[in-house]
Amino acid sequence: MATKIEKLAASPETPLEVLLELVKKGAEIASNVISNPAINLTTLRKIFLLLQEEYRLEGAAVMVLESPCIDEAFILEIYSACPDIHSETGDDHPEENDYPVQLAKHPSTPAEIITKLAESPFYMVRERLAARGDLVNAVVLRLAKDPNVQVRRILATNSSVNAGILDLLAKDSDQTVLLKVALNSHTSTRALHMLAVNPNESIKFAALSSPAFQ
Amino acid sequence: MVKKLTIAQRYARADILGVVKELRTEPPGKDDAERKKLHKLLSQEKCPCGLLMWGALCGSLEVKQQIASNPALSMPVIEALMMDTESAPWYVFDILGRDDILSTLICDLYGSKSPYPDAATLDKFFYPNSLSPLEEHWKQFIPKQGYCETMQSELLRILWRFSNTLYRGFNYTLHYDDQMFIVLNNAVDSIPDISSFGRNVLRAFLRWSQIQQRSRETLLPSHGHDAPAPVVMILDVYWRKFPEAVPFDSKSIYGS
Repeated sequence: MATKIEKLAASPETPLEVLLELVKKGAEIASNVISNPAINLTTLRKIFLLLQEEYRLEGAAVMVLESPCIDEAFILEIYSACPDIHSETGDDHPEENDYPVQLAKHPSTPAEIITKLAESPFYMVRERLAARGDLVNAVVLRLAKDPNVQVRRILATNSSVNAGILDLLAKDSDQTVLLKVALNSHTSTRALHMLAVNPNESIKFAALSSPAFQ
Repeated sequence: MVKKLTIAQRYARADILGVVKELRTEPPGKDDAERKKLHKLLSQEKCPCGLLMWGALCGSLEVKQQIASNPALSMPVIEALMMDTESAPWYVFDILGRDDILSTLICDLYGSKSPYPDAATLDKFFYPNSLSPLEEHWKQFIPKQGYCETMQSELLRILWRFSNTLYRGFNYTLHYDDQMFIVLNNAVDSIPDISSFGRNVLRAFLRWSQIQQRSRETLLPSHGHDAPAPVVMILDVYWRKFPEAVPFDSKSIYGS
């Protein structure tokens, strides 16, 4: 059950100067303030500065990246301040919220950072990228050839991936990737015909039952 | 006035391929009321096969979970459900709650000479008492520092590491621990003579353990073994399938 202070931090009625004070009351409260619908970009910038006094730079970055109002320009500013996206940020927060993972997940992360994240040594980061709907072709191609099968499986379900990439994934060695390709609405008839003769019954059925199969 | 057909009546045709094709073009459950009826139907024995197959292949996680709770699922539907490695961790334990499916799995993984003939429930299967001799054997090949030279021992080293992560508060790291899951997945992929269903169950166990550890939540009860139960089971299968030492190339995985 939310405490009085948590409710205050989450309420859009709370004055901005009070919210800025609340940011200093610990990570949980700060998180509530950041998600508060009354927070605009200007206030978020102030919060970012305040958080840097309490936490390390990456820690503050991870926290503000939870805000839905953050835009491309602000993410670029954060990235300029903490450009090391190929390291883990440490022990202060769960791994799902690690800095590079947060960047990979955020819908406003600019394409130039996405391209760099595609080279991440952490496949959890690349998994998050594979689910995005705004990937440029070079990144999609890189992920389609990812050594980690989990990344390719997620990419094969992505409805923004084009038929050419799905043709490539239709030749994958992993059966789940093939099933996902057979279920993707952008898969070409040629790839579906290839999958329709696969010995695995689920893959075969998925290809034959595709509305695009003729 | 023509009486409107129920969802079950609409898709109760013998032509399952045609039904699934139709459902993929125009999925049911567009409004809340129809969605509620659909979800209820998916978990019932009377649910048409075409509808179950469509849901198992194309449904949301919620739809797949409903289907997994249906007590009358056919093997093709179960196999289709288990092919979705992202969703399967969330219902694999429900599916294996069915005695006949658990028996099929045990027979698949161990052959006719199952070491667990009495494992009537998932609990008994996960927590056998006969693991110790194999564990004792492979334990002696674990060096005091660094990686192992045999796959069997490396898997045991990984198990110990996971026990520490889960129950002693060690930090999960994106590099080190995720790489260990690659080793485990490679081990599962290399197990000979098991069906696609059996392999997908093992993959679902691994994914479940990975999600559990990444989120630092203990989602399954621990045992006297103090280790993640599904991983213990995978080791058991691997050790029995490979009684001779399998060389482990640590550099290709961990890079050092």
